[in-house]
Amino acid sequence: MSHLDQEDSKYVKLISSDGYQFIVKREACLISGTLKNILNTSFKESETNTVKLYELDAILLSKIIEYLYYNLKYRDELTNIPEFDIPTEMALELLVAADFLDSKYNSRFRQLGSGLDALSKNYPIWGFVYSFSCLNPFIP
Amino acid sequence: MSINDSSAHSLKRTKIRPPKKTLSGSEVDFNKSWEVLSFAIKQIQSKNSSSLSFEELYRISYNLVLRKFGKSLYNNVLESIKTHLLCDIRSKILSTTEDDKKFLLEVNKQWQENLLSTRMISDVLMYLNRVYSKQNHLLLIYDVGLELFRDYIIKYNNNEIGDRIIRIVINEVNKNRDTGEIIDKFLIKSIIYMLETLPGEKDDGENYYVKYFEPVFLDASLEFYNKISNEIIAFQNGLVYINKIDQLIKDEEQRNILYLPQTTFPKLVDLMNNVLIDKNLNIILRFENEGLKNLVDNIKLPQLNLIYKLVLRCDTELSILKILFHEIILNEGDDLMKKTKELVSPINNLTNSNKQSKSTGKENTTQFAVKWVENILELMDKYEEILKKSFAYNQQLAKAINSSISQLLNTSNNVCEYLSLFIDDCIKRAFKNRTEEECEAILDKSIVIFRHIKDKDLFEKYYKKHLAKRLLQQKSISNELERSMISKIKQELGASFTSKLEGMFRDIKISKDLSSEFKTLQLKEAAEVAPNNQKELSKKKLEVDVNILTTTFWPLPLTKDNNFKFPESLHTLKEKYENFYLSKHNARILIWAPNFGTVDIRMRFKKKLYEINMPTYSGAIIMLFDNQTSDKKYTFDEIYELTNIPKQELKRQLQSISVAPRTRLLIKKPMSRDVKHDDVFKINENFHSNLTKVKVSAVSLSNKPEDDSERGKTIESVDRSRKYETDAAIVRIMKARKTATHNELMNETIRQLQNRFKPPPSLIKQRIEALLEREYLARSSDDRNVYNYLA
Repeated sequence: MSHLDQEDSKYVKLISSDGYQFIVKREACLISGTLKNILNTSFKESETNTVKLYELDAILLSKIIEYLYYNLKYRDELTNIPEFDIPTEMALELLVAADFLDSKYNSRFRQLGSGLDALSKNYPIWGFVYSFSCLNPFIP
Repeated sequence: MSINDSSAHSLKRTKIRPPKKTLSGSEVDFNKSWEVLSFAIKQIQSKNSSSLSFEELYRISYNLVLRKFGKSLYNNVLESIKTHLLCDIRSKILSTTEDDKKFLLEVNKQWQENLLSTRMISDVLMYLNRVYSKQNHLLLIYDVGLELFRDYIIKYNNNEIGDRIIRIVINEVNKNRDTGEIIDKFLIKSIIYMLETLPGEKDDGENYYVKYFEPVFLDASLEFYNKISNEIIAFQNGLVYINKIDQLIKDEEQRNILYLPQTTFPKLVDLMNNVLIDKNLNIILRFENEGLKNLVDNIKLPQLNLIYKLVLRCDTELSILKILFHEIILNEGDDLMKKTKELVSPINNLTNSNKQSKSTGKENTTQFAVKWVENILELMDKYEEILKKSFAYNQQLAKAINSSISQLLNTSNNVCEYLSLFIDDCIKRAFKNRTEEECEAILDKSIVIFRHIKDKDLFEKYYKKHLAKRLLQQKSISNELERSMISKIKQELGASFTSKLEGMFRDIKISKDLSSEFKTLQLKEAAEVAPNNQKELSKKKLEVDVNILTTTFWPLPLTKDNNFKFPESLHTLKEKYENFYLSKHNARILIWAPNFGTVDIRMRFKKKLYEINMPTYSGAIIMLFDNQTSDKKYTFDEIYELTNIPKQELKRQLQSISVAPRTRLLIKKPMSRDVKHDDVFKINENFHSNLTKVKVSAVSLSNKPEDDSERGKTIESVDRSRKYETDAAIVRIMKARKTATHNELMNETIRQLQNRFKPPPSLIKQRIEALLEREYLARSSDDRNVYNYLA
């Protein structure tokens, strides 16, 4: 995986809290506001192209990565977008993870595509996740 | 919806897993967490970020915010940035205090570094920004960072560093203006960008640049512009000022486009326009030394274009140019008079020394009129060229120049007469060697002058008079030209204006046809009477061309009480023609006007046979000597008895055939200029001329300017016809409307007459009064201001 060492590599290594490694397209990672900042700011992670996520286990991370690819594939489509499958039992965990990873972070400096906003409208479960984030008891 | 449905009934069977404890469950020690973050912030500020883990810092701040430590975290971060600014950066900047440039460089460096570190801190604390700041309506860390930089670096200690920056930048700009020395544009630009980025205080939205820098900068610029414009004005030269200012504006634009924000630039441009152009232009353009007049006179097109552009910068109405051009054009009128006189007078002197004929003076005034019109055309061409090439055909200027020219033309009294004389000269003489296109072009130009003329009826009067003489004397080069000119006038003013002119034309044509018909008739008759005596016939044969003129078309005075006795031979011819004509048109009356005709007489003198063309009157006098002995003498009174030519006219005729040096057909005793009652005349047997064909000049018939009394008469007659025309217009209007208010009637009358002349309101009022008196109109009984038409 030597090409991961290069800063402009197309791929990024994500490591789950239980030590599983995922090689993910950088482009897909950038959909998450948090990952985007991590990869674009000159800290340890951006130099090694590796991000260890202590908050997420492999099961959760793999589902999240699935979503990132799904979003990447369909974000420019306007119609004929298949549903994204979310196992009911994972819904709450995904909700919290989505908040952590910030999939719709916007500020003057981070002009993340509005694809996810659109998706959250088209895909009730992500809308569901977002609307829950307002009620999240852990968020002050 | 389907998802919601499925999740709804899956709830029954599947339990949703709660989030793991590691994510949000465990307790958090704020102080421990802050220690880590505080250390990291310091590392970031000293550019050691690469050893830090973004994920770790983010996770810590995430957990702090989730645990409701957002406020403490926010405040602590700001506090640590503030400390860094005050203790670290400020002292670094102040340590470079001696050298201005080093100081600016240091400010810039610290600013850039601070910008970077604040951004990184803000990035790491993105969860704080996103959740805590947003919910509490606080600024993001990055934005607070900018405010802190403003408050603890730039404005700290009574704006200490800020003032210094402003002073240095303005000094640099001024240095560049004065000496052209190149300043570090990129540094200046960067510093100004920094000032712009510093946000405004809460009470007003203006950023630091707008509030603190811009006013000082504009003041300094104003001072500079004032200084420099006063310096250049001192040269007292219009063109120098214009050129220098143009260069200065270009320099300023180049200078400032490099480092000033877009919002300031227009303010600076305004300032330049006001101080450099608007304020001084009135003085500059009036300088005698290459002022506007001078440039116009010399047709300096690029320079005028420059002036146009400069004026356009500060006044889209171009008022100053309008005013100045008005003055200049009106002044041209006087210059034109002088110039024309100078052009004509040398010819005058020359001819006077050659021959002391009286008529040269008059001819030269014709020349004067022609030259004057030519000069006017030249002048119009000049302004047209300036307008086209220097002023981009600006509509407003075109209008102003046009109306000024109108005024110029209409203030000089004789424009109508001069223009008509000019056209007369063109058609009679000047067009001889020109192509059709050239002639048309000149006629088109004279129409342009015509358009400017207010008193079109006066022009019509002169034109008719001149045309009449051209037609009767067959002086026009071509009828085509005459017709083309008339159709041009027609295009301008409509058929009613030219109907009389066209009528004159028609008369001449019909007369020609009649004359030739009469000639063949005569030949036939003669052949019948004496078929064998051809020789006798040709000897006695008299040819006649008669022009039948409709009295209303022609401007010639009718002499009904003319008792002129035609010589015998002419008399029979005349009667024959009368019979011929009246047989065709029996209801008409023919009145002969011998004073306009000419005769050709073949005369044998001692030396030679001459063919002499002379006025009919002179012809009649000469005929008295026909078939008489060579020493036959007549006194003036005898001649008068025999011919009945009016005495004044007779004197003139006798002068031209006995006094004028080239056409001395008669010998007058005593020989003197004046003709007296007891003078005696006899044939001059020794008459000699180099040419076989001799022409006795018909003094009264050539077209030349009128003298004052003649002009007075013309104007009087125009005034008279204006009265009738005004009457007619008023009656026409009232007949159509039946009733009208005073103002309506006034306006409509002016509108109807404007093609002919500009009626003064007093004239209209006076005519209305007259019509009231004559009971064409009556005032309404309800309203004194309303008139009714009385059928």
